[in-house]
Amino acid sequence: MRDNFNAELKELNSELVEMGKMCVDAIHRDVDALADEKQGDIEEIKKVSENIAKKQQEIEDLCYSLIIKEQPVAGDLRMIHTASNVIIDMQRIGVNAYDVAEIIPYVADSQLKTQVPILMMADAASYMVSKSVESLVNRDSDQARKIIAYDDEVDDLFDEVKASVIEAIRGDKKKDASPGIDIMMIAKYFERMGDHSESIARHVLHLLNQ
Amino acid sequence: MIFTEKRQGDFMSSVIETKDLNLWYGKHHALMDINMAVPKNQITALIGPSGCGKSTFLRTLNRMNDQIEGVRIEGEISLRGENIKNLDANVLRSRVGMVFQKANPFPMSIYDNIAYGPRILGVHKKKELDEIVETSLKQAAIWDECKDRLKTSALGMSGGQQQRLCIARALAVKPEVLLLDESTSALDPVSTSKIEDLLLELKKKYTIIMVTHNMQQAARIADRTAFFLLGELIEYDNTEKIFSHPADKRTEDYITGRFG
Ligand SMILES: Nc1ncnc2c1ncn2[C@@H]1O[C@H](COP(=O)(O)OP(=O)(O)OP(=O)(O)O)[C@@H](O)[C@H]1O
Ligand SMILES: [Mg+2]
Repeated sequence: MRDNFNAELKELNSELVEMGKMCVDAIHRDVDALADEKQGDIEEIKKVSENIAKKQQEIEDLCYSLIIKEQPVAGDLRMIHTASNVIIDMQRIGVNAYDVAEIIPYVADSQLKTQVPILMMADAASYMVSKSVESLVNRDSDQARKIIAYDDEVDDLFDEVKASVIEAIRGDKKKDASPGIDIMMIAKYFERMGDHSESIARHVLHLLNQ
Repeated sequence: MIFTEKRQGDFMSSVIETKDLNLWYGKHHALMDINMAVPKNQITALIGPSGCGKSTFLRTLNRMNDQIEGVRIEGEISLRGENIKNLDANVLRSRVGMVFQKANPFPMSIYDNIAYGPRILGVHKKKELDEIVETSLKQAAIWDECKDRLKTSALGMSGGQQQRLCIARALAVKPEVLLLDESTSALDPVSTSKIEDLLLELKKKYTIIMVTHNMQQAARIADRTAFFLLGELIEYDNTEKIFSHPADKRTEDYITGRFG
């Protein structure tokens, strides 16, 4: 029944998975750029971020066309509505990844980036993004709840970064605060990515009537 | 069925209430334990697959099933708290009017179509009848289209006009409830939307119960929607709830077109 519609909903699912992968890719590129100090990567991250925005547009168009053609109701309508919402979160994650990339050159020479758990934050953010999208396409409320709880871990990591940065600034002989501030901004962007993933998970719970 | 929690009691008053209503056509059990309270001045839509008992339910509300051979009805239907069994059938049908799927004007003039019911109920003064004809046609939003040809045959009207004429005819006897059985299914989109606008206007004064196969129509104009399946009332709730978060899987399957 409604074979064509079902196929289009499947396509919507795989598009969402694809966009989630692009977000994870953007975060991984941040991590590589942070670790390798490769300037060239930053342009690449900009491109990935732009492609994520394009993907958002494509998925939004797909949602509109499904609404017009199929006049969805109930679970179908909620799925399409959820998709339109989570792509906004994913697009923001893409923007955040580029925000991070823009700061990386300023901390390239700083020892601080290896002294604080900033890379752990990046890992946590990419984990949250991929798992939240997974919870959506698998309609898995348990996983969505786990992601929402996991956001607290990211917040804890943020506090750890903050404490370490304060300590480092205090201990710095030249009293140079700027690498510390840049690191804090990077941490904040990773923390935001966690928030967007949490938001995706909350949309999933709403979709599933929970 | 999934009962409508506290909402059921939220309404100031329900006009029609059924209590454990059951109906059999011979051995065929066509309505099973229907408990439903229809709120005043609202549009209630009845939806469900063909043969689920929508028309049967509608007809029991003004006792039009009584004449059918072999019909057995159990349970109670009350109109403003009064058991409809105790009402004279003609009085009941003037208080609870019916408009059918196919417009069925009588083969007489537009004027006589509208005056038919009031005349049966004893209105004979020309001035009074003139007034009833005018108000009824105005309420049915068709006065302007036919005021200059009241004496011509109603059969010369378009399908959409005939349907509004039938609504005017039902209104002429000053009913409290209007029952409509797929009354727009034979009409084009423009005539359909005229009738939908009309119903939204009429609900200010009347209580409307309509059967429709058009989900969009139920979503557009009904305040409450009832989903029937195989003679059972599966779910009955606010229309937005039914079309966004239906509580029963069978409702969801039906309205999303994944039924069966
Ligand atoms: N006069 C009758 N005698 C015997 N059985 C009847 C009679 N009228 C209806 N039925 C049966 O009762 C059941 C409900 O019929 P009803 O006409 O109420 O369905 P419905 O929901 O209005 O369907 P549709 O959407 O096709 O109009 C069906 O199985 C039908 O065959
Ligand atoms: Mg019917």
